[in-house]
Amino acid sequence: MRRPRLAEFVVRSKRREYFSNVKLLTFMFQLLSMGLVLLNTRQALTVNSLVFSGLLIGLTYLSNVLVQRYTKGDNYLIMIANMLFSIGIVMIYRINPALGERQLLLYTIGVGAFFIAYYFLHYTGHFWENKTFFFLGISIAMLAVTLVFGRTLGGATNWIEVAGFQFQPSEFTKITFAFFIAAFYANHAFFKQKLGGSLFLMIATYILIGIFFLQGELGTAIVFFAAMICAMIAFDRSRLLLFANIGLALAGLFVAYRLFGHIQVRFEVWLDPWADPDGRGYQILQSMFAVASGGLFGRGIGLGQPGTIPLAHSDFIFASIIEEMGIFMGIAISLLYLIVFYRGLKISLSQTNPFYKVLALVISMMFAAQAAIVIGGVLKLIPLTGMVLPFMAHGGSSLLASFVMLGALQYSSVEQYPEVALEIKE
Amino acid sequence: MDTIISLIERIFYTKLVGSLDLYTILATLFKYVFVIIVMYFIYLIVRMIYLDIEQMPTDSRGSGAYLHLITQPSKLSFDVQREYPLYQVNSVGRDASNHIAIANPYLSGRHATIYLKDGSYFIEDLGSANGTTLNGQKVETALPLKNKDILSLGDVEFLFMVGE
Repeated sequence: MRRPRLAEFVVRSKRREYFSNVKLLTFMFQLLSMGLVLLNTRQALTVNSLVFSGLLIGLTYLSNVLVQRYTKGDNYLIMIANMLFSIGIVMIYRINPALGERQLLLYTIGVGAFFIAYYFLHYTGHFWENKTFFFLGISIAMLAVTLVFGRTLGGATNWIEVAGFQFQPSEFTKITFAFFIAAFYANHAFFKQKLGGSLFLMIATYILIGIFFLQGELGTAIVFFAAMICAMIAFDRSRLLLFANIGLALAGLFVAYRLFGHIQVRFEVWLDPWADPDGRGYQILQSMFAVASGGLFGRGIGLGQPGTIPLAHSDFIFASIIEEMGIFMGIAISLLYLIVFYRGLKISLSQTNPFYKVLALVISMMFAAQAAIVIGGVLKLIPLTGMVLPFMAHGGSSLLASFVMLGALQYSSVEQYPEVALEIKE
Repeated sequence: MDTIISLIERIFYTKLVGSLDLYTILATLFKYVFVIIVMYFIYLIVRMIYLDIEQMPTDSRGSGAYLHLITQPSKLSFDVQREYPLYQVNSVGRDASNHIAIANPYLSGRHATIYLKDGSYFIEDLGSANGTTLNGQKVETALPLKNKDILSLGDVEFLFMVGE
């Protein structure tokens, strides 16, 4: 039976009311928290910091409005990303105002990248849907370049410097890898006939993961693996391959553990950080002290000492936030990532175009895996992997890549019609 | 700037009771506010998602008449549903308060109305700027709709379907 007409009106006005409330909540959070942070960092208070606060509030509001007006599809993704970003940047600014200002600049570029990604996919249409080898080639090339010319920072050879700008190619490989899996499953029939089906995907993924292990980048390797497994569960009927993969991964991890010193170190620190509390275990111990001293509601912004954790503004921002805003905020952040993941699955289920169906699934899985790995690592549930939380942590490459992926996810949520739009039963 | 800083110092960092200053009190109060704000934010998002699911269009075929989109939606810069089920009275226009609201700049705020009278549907233009056409013919008075008539409103084209 059909719903009565009136209900649709009520729903539409209700939704508009909720939308404006959501924008208002983001605004209130930024206003109150930035107010506190400015009072707290009073020694560094200049006209710039007031301009910064104004820009922060204005830009996030603007992006909420612009995305709603100029893109079709899912409206929630950008609002959640903005909320996560707000929580993150307040913390970064509180720890180090200069880094906060830089983060805001990167955010502006990131939102630009969001729109560029959206409209790029919008206008180039179906051109990318069968460029499987192109995406794979780019992914491998980017990693190979890093391996040769890369610089080592924080235990991983994953930085590259071009014209004075440092960036992490592995963050951008996530984008091309997601497109690669999407193009692969969009042309699954072809690969099944010619190139061994999912075996091809497995080999390609393991080559990339192998390079990550050589670079010492454990986290991205796990994210790639999770994305591949997730796509296989959803789009491949063969369960045998799935179990073979999990077995292979365990075996591979064991071999890697034996081969590479840096992986052994990470496991040792995870199992017993007290063995070297002032050296290798220092970071995770400080993180756990921070989480413990936070309690349920935290100590209040400006009243804790998140600065004592090394990398408190990037890898360990989750611990810093829990220290000053509490476990409940930590739970809220996990929930926000969960909603992004749920939206991704929903988009993937309702999308009819096979390419964007896979793309949505892979991208949302990557966000979820990243969040799970980082949160687990900071809380010492799993070994540290050197990843950062998407949208929250300080870091240009990560923020930019996350926004490009979000733009692609946004485009995937636009209902695509088959070329022949009209099918009328006579 | 220095005066402002010293002013802040004096207002927010003067010890009131013991080692308690105004800043500590504010920060302690606000930490609850922040958690409430973010949790309420999540609640609203979940609530909107719930509305979406509840509102998911049930298959209108077989139960009544509907408008079926002909124009390729990828060519349009605004959201258009693939199908609009028709009811007793249906206003079409750019304004969000219409039954069939399409954010097409070529549509007038209240563009046209499609209504059921004596068992068949009629279309009537409400004095729109760009007009409405039915099978290529401009709609001047109320015209009856037949199955598979082509309606164009602004630059969006629909097929009128009676349903089985």
